[in-house]
Order: sequence, then C-alpha cells, then structure tokens
Amino acid sequence: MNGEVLVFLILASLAVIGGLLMLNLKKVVHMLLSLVLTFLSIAGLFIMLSAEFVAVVQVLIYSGAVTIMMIFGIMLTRHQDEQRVQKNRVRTWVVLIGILVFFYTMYEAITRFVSVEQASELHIENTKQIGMALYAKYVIPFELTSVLLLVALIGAIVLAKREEEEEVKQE
Amino acid sequence: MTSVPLNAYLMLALILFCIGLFGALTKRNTVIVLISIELMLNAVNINLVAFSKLGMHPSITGQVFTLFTITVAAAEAAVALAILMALFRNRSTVQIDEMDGMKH
Amino acid sequence: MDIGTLLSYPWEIMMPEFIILIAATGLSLTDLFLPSRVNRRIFGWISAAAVLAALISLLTQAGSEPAQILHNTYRLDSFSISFKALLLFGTLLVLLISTSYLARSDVEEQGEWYYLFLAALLGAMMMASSADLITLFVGLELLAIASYILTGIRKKSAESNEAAMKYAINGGIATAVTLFGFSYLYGLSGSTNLGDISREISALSADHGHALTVAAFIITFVGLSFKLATVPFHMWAPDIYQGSPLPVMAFLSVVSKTAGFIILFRVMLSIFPTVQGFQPDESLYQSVMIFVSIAAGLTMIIGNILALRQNNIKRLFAYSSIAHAGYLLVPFVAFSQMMFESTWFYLLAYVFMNLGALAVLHIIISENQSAHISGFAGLYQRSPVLTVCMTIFLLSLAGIPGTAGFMGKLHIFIGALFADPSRYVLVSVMLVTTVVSYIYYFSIMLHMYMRPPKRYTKITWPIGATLTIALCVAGTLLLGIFPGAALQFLQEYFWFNDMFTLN
Repeated sequence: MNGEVLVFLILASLAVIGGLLMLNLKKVVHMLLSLVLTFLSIAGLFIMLSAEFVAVVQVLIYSGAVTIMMIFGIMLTRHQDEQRVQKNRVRTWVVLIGILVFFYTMYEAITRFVSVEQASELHIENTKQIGMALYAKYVIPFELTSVLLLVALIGAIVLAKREEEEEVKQE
Repeated sequence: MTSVPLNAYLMLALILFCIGLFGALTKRNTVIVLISIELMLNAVNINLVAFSKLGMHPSITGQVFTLFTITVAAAEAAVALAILMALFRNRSTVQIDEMDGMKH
Repeated sequence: MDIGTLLSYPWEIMMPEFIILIAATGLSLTDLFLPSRVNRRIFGWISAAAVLAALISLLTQAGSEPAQILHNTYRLDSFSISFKALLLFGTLLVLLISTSYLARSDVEEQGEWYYLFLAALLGAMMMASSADLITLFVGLELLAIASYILTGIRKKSAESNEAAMKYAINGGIATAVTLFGFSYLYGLSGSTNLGDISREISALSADHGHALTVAAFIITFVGLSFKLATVPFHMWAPDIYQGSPLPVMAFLSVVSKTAGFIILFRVMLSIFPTVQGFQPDESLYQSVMIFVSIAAGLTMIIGNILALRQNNIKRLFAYSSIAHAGYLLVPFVAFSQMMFESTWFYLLAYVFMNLGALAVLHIIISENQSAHISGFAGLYQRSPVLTVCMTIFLLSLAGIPGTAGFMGKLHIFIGALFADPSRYVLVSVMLVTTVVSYIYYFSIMLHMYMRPPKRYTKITWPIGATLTIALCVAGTLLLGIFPGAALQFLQEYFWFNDMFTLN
C-alpha cells in the first residue's frame, strides 16, 4: 500500500467523518468544530494535489474567517443548544431517498469515467503560476470580484448595523 | 496502485456534496443550513482542484477557479449572516420553520 | 503580460459596463460625503441617467462584428448586445419606480439602494457578455448578492427579513448546485472557455466521459433554473416576491429572469447541441429536452393554478411571474430557428407589461397601505386613466390580441409548432394555462370596474411611476399593433448565430 494512498484514505475519512458528525451532533458549536475538521482535511488533500496556495487559502479563509463568522452568527443569535426532536420525519426521509438516488446515479457516472494521468507542472512555482493566470487571463473576473466584495461589505454593514441613531435623531 | 486515481477524489467530493445538500435541505437552524452550503462549496473545490491536476488536460485554471469560488462563498456567507442578524433582531428566532409569516 | 499587451485590447467595447461602474462608484462616494439631510432622490435620477447613457452606448454597438477581450472572458456579440438592452431598459424602468417608492417607504439607506441596483445590473451585464465559466459565475453572484441585500433592506419589516433569508438560502443552494455542474464541465474539458469546452466535450468518446457529461448538464440546468423560478425552485419564490420591496420585486421578476435566461442560453447552447445524446443519432440536447419540457409544463400549470387563490396582489403577481417563466422556457425546449427571437421579444413585452402593472400596483398599495386585491375596488370611478392603463397591462399579460403579450405568445406558439419535432403537447399546455390565467387577471378588472370604491379621494400620480406607466403603455400598444418594427430591428442588426463562433 503506497504512502500516498494511505494519506489520501486518512484525509478523506477525516473529511467525511467531519461531515457526518456535523449532521448528527446536537450542539451547534460542536457541529461547527466538526466542520473545521473537514476543512482542514480538505486543505491536506489540496496539498496532495499540488495546490499549495489554494491549501493555504483554504485554511485561512474557510477554517479561519468563515468559521469565526459562523460562530459569531451563532453566539449573537442566542443559539439553541439542543435541536428539538420533532422534525418533519416525512420530509427528512424524502430528501434522504432523493439524495441517495442522486448519489447512486453520479456514482455510476463517475466510475465510468476514465482519465489518463499526465505529467503536470503544477507544483513548480505554484503561486507564480496562479499569479500569471489570474492577472493575465482572468483579470476581468478578478476586477468584478472586487466589486462583488465591496457590495458584500456594504450590504453586510447596511443589514446588520444597529439603529441607535434613530432614537437620538427623533425624526 | 501507484497513486490515487481521479475517481477517488470525485467520489469524495460527491459524498461531501450529498452530506451538505442533506444538511441544507433538512436542518432547521439557519446557521447550520449556511454551513452545509459551505460544505457543498468545498466539495466543488475538491472537484476543481482534482481535475486541475489529474484531469484530461491538467492546467492551473482549476486552482484559479477555486480561488474565485472560495472568495464568492465567503462573501455570500457574510451577507447571509447579516440578513440573519437583521431577522433575529426583529423576530428572535433562527429556526427556519418558524419563518412562516407569509402564508397563502 | 506586460502593460503594453494589456492596453492593446479593445477595451472600448466595454463602454456600457464602464459607465455603470463609474456611476455606481461615483454614487457610493458621493453618498459617503454628502450630509445625510440631503434627499437622496437625486441619486435616482442620476442612476437612471447613467443607465440611459449606457443603453445609448450599447445601441451604437449594434450590428458590429463579434469582439472579445482576453480569451472570451468578455465577449461582445449579437446575443449579448440584444439581451443587455433588455437588462438596461428593465433596470431603467425599475429605477424610475424606485424614485416614487422610496419617497413613501421606510427605507433609510436610500443612497445604498441605488448603487446596489447599479451593481446588480453590472453583474447581469458582465454575465451577458461573457463566454467563460468564471466570469459567468462571478457576474451571476454579483447579481445575486446585491439582490439578497436589496430584498432585505427594509430591516424593520419581518416579511422583508424572511424573504431575504429565504432568498439567500435558496440562492446559496442553487449556487452550490450550479457550481458542481460547472466543475464537471471544467473537468471534462480542461478549460473554462465555453468554446474550448464545447470542442473538448464533443471530442470525448461515448464510453469515456459520456455519462458524466449528461449528469453535468442536468445538474447545471437544475441549478440555473433557480434564477428563473421554475419548478422545482418555485416554492419559495412567492414568499420572496411578496416580502421584498416592490421595485425589488419588479427587478427580480424582470431583470433577474432575463439574466437567468442569458446564462441558460450561453452555457447550454454553446456546449450541448454538439454532444452526442442517449441515442447515437441525436444530440444530447434532444435527449434531455424531455426533462426540460416537463419542468416548463409543470411551471406553467402550477404558476397559473396557484395564482387563482390569491388575494394578495403582490403574491398573485409572483405566481404570474412564475407562470411567465414557464412560457419563456417553451422556445428553449423547441430549439427552433426562432428561439432567440421568441425569447427576446417575449422578454421585451414582459418588461413593458409587468413593470407597468407593478408601477400601478405601487400606486394602489401606497394609497391603501395594503396589498389586498380589494384595493383595486372602484378604481374606474376614482381614476379612469389609471384603470385604462392597468387594463391594457392586464390584457397584455393575459395575451389578448392587440397587445404585446399576445404577439409574444403567438411568436412562441409558431416557433414551437414549427419546430422539429413539433411540440404540440407543450403548446396545448400553454394555451390551456393562458386561458386559466384569464380568470385571475379578469378578476382584477372586475374589482376595478364593478366594485364600489371604499374612498373617493383623488389618486396622486408620483413622477417616477407615472413615467414608467406612460412608457409601458406606449410599449405594450406599439409592440402589439406593430410588432414588425421590433422584429425587423432584431433581424437587421442581430445575427444570433455569431454566438456560436466561439474561438
């Protein structure tokens, strides 16, 4: 058993375990922490796939920024520690069956797919390659993303800010 | 087996996508729905990075696409949480099935 | 790439987008530095002027050769010019309605309102002008995120909060599903350029990646159908439309829908007609059309039937909007020569009739402070002009001859019947559901003409809404009586097949 296969199996299992724990745990904060496990194992997989820059970004943004944002979301909205048991049983089963059907269909499609591995140079100066592609070929979506981030920033401020000024203004 | 085949990565991505989809469609706490959506987007990223190295035409494009999806996903999560804040301030609930103010 | 190469691209073809971008940035900076007691209404007129300028700049590009910058991340062809014109025109009318709406509403962030609309428009325009998966995705998300914010901008209204939350969640799931499909499209071809993807996927042999291609098509279609609010994503659409502020509802039902069709056409038509389908002698497109036709049929049926029970006029129009999305899918299914023209013409007609009707709705809702259908009672006695305008819009939405709506539906019918194979089942569903829609459109007219009014006060006509109604009435009647003018304009300047010369 090759070392690479072993590492893949460990990381993949950790990712899936994190996801399944997220579905089954009761306390919301625990669910988030299991998701962090998933994010970190995915970062490990990225490193295996010669995507070092993306792996670092994954750790910084997903397991860093997004997780902290979600924790704020939970804490500031008076999270309920326990999920109430009365779920809509029928709906859960219908969704589960639908997803299993989808999963099986995709499984068949994926196993039929054959790809020949070719040598790639992705690991040589990975960050430089990303930079060359991003600023030369993809500069238009790059600039558009900057507009998107600005809009998200303005929107988050507009929606989440407190209206204390209201009582002071007395209009 | 000398190395991990592409199909293994695709299967892993599919499993994570299905877990995330199940969470997004069935969970009642809105924050959990949001993090399930993030899990689905992570599955997409695994797909993209795996194809970028092990696909039929390896190139850096997959990793660049991944950077864009990570950025957009984070921005969307931020806005969704801001909406949740505004909602919570008004109605003090974050459970989805309590959001039924508009009925037929 | 050095600065010389970068500057040598034909950036002037992006002039309309630059105008909108500069307007949005300028307004956001001005909003920051202007004292808060200055009425932000001027922003509305400035942004409307900017959209008008962009529209004029766009029309001067009509008839030009296809051009592209940077590997088709930005692409200017007939498809993008014609559909961008729809987007710009729709947004112009929505901005006009906004100026009236904001004067009477409790939205505090009025400066933000206008430049968020411009940002959403920019996202939709970039999406219309791109033949690259990454740019399509970022444009789509910019439109989506700006829309989530605008839906929830009335923070004190619980309805609005709920609508925004549902929209954000629904949109997030749809984005993830669409991206999953996109990742397979990238993976099967190694490129995000739609031309390359089309070439590579058709070169894939049947036993290699075929099943995966079909799966990618279906997943992408399901994800993109969210933007159109068709089945299966129709469930939360009425709540979203009902809870959002009226101009935002107008924007979502017209501009977002157009944007949804833009991305659907771009992605689906660039890639899939050349791929082999389930049988060796038909294309993938034809094999999968059965699913799309079922979706279209169900959408028409569900949208029209559920509209019958509604007493809230905003919700009624939400279901009507869902039904119209179903009608618009029929040309896509039929895949005839007239597909682009039918869709474009019907969307143009829809811009006129829906935005006009929603402008009237705004006047009624703000007069009565309620969205119940009884607000229309006795309108004929209070303001005959307004009633006649609304009647024209309702007749057009129902598809009565003499109006733009009728011409649009006729065009779709002809296209679908003469397609190969002839889609007569779908056309008959469309006919039956159109007749069903007469019931609820006529019930509004019943209220207007027959019922006695609750109050006899005079109805005030705010400027923005008035302009909109005037333009829409003109458009609806002109397109209904002289459809040839628009169609000839389309045929003379736009050769839609140049969308396929992707290289």
